[in-house]
Amino acid sequence: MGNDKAVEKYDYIRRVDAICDLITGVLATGAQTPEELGEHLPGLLQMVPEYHASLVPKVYPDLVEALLKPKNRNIGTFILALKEYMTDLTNHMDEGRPLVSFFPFCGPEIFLSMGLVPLNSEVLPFIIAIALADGVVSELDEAERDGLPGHVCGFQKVPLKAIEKGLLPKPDLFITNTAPCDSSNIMYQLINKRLNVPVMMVDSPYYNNTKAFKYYLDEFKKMVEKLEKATGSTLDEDRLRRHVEMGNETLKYLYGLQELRRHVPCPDPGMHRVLDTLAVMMAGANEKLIDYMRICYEEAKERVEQGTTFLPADKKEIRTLWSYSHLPNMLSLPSWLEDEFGSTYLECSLSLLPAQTVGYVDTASVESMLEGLAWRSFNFPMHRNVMGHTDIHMNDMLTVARAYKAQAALFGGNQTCKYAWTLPKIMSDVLEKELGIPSVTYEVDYMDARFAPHASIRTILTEFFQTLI
Amino acid sequence: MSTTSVSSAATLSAVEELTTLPLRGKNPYIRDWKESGGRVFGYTCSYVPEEILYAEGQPSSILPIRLGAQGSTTTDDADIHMHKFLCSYCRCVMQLALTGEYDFLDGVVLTNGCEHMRRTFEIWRDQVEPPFVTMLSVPHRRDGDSQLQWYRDEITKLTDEIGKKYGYLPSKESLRNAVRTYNRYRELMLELYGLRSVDHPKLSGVEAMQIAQAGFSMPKEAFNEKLAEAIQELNERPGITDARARIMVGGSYMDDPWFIDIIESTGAVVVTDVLCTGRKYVEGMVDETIDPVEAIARRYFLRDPSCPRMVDGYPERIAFTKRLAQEAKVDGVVFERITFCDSHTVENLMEGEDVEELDIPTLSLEREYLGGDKGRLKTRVQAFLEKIGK
Repeated sequence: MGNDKAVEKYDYIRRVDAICDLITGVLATGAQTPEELGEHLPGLLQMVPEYHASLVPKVYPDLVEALLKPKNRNIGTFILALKEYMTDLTNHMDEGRPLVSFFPFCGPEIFLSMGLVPLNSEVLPFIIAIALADGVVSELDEAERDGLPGHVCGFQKVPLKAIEKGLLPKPDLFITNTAPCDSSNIMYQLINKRLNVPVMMVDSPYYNNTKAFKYYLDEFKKMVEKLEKATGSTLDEDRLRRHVEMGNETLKYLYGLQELRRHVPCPDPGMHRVLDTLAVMMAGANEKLIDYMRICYEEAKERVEQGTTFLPADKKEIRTLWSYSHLPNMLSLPSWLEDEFGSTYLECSLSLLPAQTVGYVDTASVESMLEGLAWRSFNFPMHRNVMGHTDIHMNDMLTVARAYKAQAALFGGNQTCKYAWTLPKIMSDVLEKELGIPSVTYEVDYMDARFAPHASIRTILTEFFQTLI
Repeated sequence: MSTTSVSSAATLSAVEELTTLPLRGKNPYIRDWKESGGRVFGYTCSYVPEEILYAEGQPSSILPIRLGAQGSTTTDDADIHMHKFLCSYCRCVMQLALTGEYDFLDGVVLTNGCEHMRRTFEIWRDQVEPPFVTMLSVPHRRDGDSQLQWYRDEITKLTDEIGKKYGYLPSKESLRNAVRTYNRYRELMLELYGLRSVDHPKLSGVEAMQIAQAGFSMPKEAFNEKLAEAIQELNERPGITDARARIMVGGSYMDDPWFIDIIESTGAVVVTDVLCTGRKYVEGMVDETIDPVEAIARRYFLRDPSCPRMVDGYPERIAFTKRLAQEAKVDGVVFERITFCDSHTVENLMEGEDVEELDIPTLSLEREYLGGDKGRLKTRVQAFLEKIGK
C-alpha cells in the first residue's frame, strides 16, 4: 500500500521531496556554519525518515555550507515553493489526472489551468544534480552503456533512463518544442520510440522577429488545441488567469531585481541566478514562489538603501557577467566566488528574461493570455538566445555587461550545448573590444560533475580572478 | 592535376573523369564557369533547393556546389573560432574557407540543418566575409501548412536577396529547365545506384561516392552527359564477383570516400547507402506539372526520407533504410557518426535496433571527418565481418 503514492513510488520524486525537507530542516536549525550544523545534525537525523537520512552523506558539503550563510537563506523560501509544487503534483497524480511531461519552454500555467499534472521530467534530474553528489550518475552511465554517449544531453538521457527504470512516472504525453538543440530534437524521437508515449512538438522557428513570433504563436495555440484533444481536458479561463497573475507577480519582482543588480555593489547574491531560471520555469505555480522572489527583491532593495553588501569586508567587488550560464551541479560556486574574490554574479543567459522585451502577460482574455505566454516562451532562455544567429546572445550579454557595469566574464559552457560553442571566441572578443572586459572559458557538464570536478573549476577560476585582483 | 581543363579531361573515360575530378578551385568545370562570367555559390545542406540557385538569371549564371572538405589536413585556424565540441566536418569546411580555399565562391547559402552547421554561419559571415552569404532556415516539422509556407517564404527570401544583389530573378521557364535538368540528374543517379545493388556490382562504393561528389561540383547538364556515358561504360564492365560481403552505409555527412575505402579494403563492397550526400539526396523527383517553385519547395521540404533533424520523419526514414537494405541484399549495415553529431548518434542507434529486426547485423562506428584512426576502424570492420561469418 505504501508504494501507491507517487511520492513513494517514484524515487526521483521522492529524492526531490526529501531534498526539500532536508534543506528546510537544516535552515530551521539556525546554524550558520557547518560546525554549528554539526551540533544539530544528530537531532535532525532522528527527526527525518530513514530515506531522507540516507541521502545526507550524498549532499554536496559545499552546497550545505553555502546555504547556511545568511546571504543565501532565502533559498529556503524557494525550497518551500518547490515542495508545494511537488506536493500538488503528486497529489494530483494520485488522483489519476493526466500526466504531462513538459520541457520548460513555458511555465506550467496552461497545464494547471486544464487540470493536468505538469511534471517536468527534465528539471527533476536537474534539481537532483544540484543537491546530490552522485546525483543522476547511475542513469547517465546506463544511458551511455545503451549507446548514448557523453555528448548527448543529459537533460533527455536521464529522464528516459529514469522512466525506463521506474524512477520517474511514464507520462501520458510529452510536450516540448524544437528548441534548443539537435540532442533534444532527436532524443524525443527516441523517447517516443522507446516509451511508446506520444510526443507533441511545438515548432520553434529560426530567427527572433515578428514573422517568427507569428509562426510560433500559431504553433503555441495549436498546442493547446491538441492538448485538449489528447487529454480530454479543457482550458479554464479563470484558473488560467489566476496562474498567469501569479506568474506576472513573480516576474514583477524578478524584473525589479534585475534593476537592483545595476547598483554597485551588486545587492543580490549569485546563488539566486540558478533559482531565477527555475522560478521562471515554474512561474505561476504557487504563491510561495512569489514570496521567494519578493523576499529576494526586498533584501536587495534594503542593501541598496542602507548601502550594505553581502560581500566580505575585505573584498573589493568584481562585477561578473556569466556570459553563458550557471553551473547547476555546483550551485555554491557563486557564493564561493563572492567570498574568495568579491566576484558578484550579475546575470547569465539562462537567468536573463529581458524585462523590456518580455514584460507581463495581459490577462484580459484567453486570447491575450495565450499570446502573452507564447511571447514569454518565445523569449525564454534557451529559445530567444538560441533560435537564431549568435548575434542575439552576444547583444543581450553585451547590453547586460554595459548596463550592469561588468568587469569580468565567465563562460562556463555546457559540453552538450553545441549551439553555444562558437560563442566563447565571439563573446570574449566583443567584451574585450567594446568594454575591455576579460573573459575565461571553461567546459562543464550540467548534469555530470565528473566531467569537470568542482576542484578543477575552482582552480581555473582562482587563476583567472587572481590575475584581476 | 591543377592544370586540368574540361577539354583535356575529355581524353579520359567518363568514369575516370568523374572519379578523379580535381577539388574546388582546381576543378576545371568550376574554373570554366567562372571564366565565362558565371557565379559559383556554395551550400552545405540537402535542404538548400539547388534548382532555385541554378535557375537564377538564365542562361544559368549561378552554379551551386555542395561544400565538401575533402583534402583537409588540419582545423588549426577553424578551431580558434569553433570549439572541439563542434563537428569536425564543419570545422574542416571552415578551415578551408578561412585559408582561402573557397575564395572563388561568389556566395554561400547555409542552413540551420544542425547546431554545428548553423553556427558556421556567423563565422563565415564575419571572418571570411564572402560577397554574399545567407541563411535558409528550415522548420523541424512538416505536418502543417505553416511549416511548408515558412519554407516557401525562405525560398522567396533567398531569391529576393540574390535579385537585390545581382539584379535578376529566375523566370518560370528557367525554373522549369532547372527542374528538368535536376530530375534527369536524379534519374541517372538512381540508375547508377541500380548498378551497385545488383548481384555483381558494377562499381565500388568508393567510385560511387567519387561520382556523387563530382555531381555536386559540376554544372548538372555537363554532369548528366558524363554520367550517362559513365553508366554505359560501367555496364560494359564485368561485375564484382568476389565481394567478401555486401554492405550498406548510413549516418553522418560524408563527402570524402576514405571511410568507404576502409570498408572496401577488407574485401567487402558498399552496395548502397542512406547518406544525405548519397541515396537520400537523389531520392524523389520534383513535380514537373505544377508551379515550379511550389514543386521545388515540396520536394525539398516534404521529401522522405528526411534528415534526422525532422522530428516527424523517423517512421519513413527507417522504412526507407529497411527497404534499401533488403533490395540491395546487404549482409550488414555500417552506421557511422562524426563525433559530437547528436542527430546521427541517436538516429543510428534507433535504426540499428530496427534493422536488426530483419536479421541484418549492424556495426556502429564513431569517426572524425579527417581520416584519422583508420587502423582502429579497419579492425572494427574486419571484426564485424568475421562476426557475421564473412
